[in-house]
Amino acid sequence: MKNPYIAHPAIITNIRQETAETKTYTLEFTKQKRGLVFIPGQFNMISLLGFGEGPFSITSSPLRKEIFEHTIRLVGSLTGQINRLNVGDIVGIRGPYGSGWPVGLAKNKDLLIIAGGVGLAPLRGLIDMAIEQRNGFGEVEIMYGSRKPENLIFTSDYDNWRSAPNIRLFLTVDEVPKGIEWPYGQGVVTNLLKFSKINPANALAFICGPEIMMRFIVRSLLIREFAEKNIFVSMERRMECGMAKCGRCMIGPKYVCTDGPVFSYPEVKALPHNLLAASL
Amino acid sequence: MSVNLSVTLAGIKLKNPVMPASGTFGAGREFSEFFDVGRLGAIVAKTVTLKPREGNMPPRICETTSGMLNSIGLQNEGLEYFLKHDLPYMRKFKIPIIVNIAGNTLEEYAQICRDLKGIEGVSAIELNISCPNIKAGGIAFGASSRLAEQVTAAARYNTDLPLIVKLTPNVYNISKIARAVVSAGADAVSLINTLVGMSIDINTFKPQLANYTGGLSGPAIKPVAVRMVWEVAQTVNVPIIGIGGIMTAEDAIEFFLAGATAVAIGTANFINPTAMIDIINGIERFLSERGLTDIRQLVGKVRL
Repeated sequence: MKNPYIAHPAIITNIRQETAETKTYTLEFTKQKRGLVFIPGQFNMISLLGFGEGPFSITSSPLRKEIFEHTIRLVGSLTGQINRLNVGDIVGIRGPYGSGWPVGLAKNKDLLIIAGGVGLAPLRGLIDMAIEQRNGFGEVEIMYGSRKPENLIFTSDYDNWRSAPNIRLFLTVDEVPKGIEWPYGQGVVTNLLKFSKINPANALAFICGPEIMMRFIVRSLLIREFAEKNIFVSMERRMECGMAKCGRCMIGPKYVCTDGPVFSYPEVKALPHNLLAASL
Repeated sequence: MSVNLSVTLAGIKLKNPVMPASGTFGAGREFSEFFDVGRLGAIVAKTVTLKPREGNMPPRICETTSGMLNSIGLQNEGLEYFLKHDLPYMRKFKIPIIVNIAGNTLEEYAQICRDLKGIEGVSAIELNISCPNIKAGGIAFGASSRLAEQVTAAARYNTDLPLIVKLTPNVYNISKIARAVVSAGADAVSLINTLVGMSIDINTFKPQLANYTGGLSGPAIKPVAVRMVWEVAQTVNVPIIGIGGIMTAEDAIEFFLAGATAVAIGTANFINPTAMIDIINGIERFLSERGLTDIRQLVGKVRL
């Protein structure tokens, strides 16, 4: 039997600064030849000897098998150490884990992708996949919001997304600092939904962001006649150990890290103690 | 057998798919002496800017082989005058009014969109990001996919009206620009604007236009326009207004076959003021002669 606790060494081959606190790391296994086979929305456990291990979304396209990427924001001690790494440094990788976005269900459907802040991270692989396999999916609408323009991640991807056929990208920020030219929206992400043109009857919605944002997004989607079963959310922010042990991520009886992080809306709705719960 | 010429364009219902190209029809005053403007599918006003513009020095128009060069330079009285005098006049025709706007900066486009909010009779906004005759803005916005995307966004986030973006042919890859403006929320695209050209008087050795260069329109550019409409129709799924050298119903039919949902007539109006009416009647005749009942049976139906 394979030992699931073995961390496989991966080398950092590229680092891209996304925002002041967030970087995207390109990784490649040093020993395994097979690369990483995963579904967008899944995560890896990344470990640094002496500093610990944590769950991080895989942010590259699953079609790029030889390399994979993680987009990590500096928030604590482990991410602080990761932030200091350079190209050529080695990290430990276990994974992929968790449920991904239901890519099979999404085939030939329109995709409505809604994200707040670093919540775009687990959705980037899905977006890139839909762009690379443009005929496998319908229209793609991306609604993305962050606090300020400088907090938007994957900005270097936008031109590529926009130059693909039938993709619409709408942006909004809470606040525009003086002197910044910002032709896009201002306010909450929910405001962007008015720009959506896709027919909810033939679309899936994928959402990741703070739970309070997702709560309002879901409410708006239901008003727009999205079926509950066609709405999927990633609750990845709650995860800690990634192996259904620490209990930090539990929502009622479910572990986000093993039962999720991607859930259908009816699943989370039925659970207690979360902002999407029907009981709230 | 009756023929249905009505189309829906960016959410606006048009009783027929024929309209004037912006800048060739003013607000319709001069043409109303020749025909009932209310018969058109829509009226597209001449480009309006935030502040009045004097335009370029004359001469500003010259004839070329199968075409016309112009370098008017977006002469207009400004938005305030437009709202007070031209728009109320156009409302009389009781057909959809498409207001064509241009700005020197993103903020000017945004401002005009905000000022048009809730104004009675405005059915849609067309962004002119392709005028070759002005120094700041204009074609600079339309020739870069990034700027085209940004100017579309500047309008998109400031209006709930249907948004049409008029594209310039003076680019290497017009499909890329079309995709960029659609990605920012354009509801339709219109193409093509004029091709930058120049004509020299061999007796005086001087350019024919005081601005030296101008925009070429007329039958000379039609094959370029048909090709571009066809290309763009392959890559975006928003409706297209086909423009470029349409003189007759047969010309218009080519654009429908290439993928246009509607057509706009420009230079032909200067030669025959009732050209648009002749084209509407001609399209109807073309359809009924072939036993077709709906203009949509032509859209994108080129056989490859």
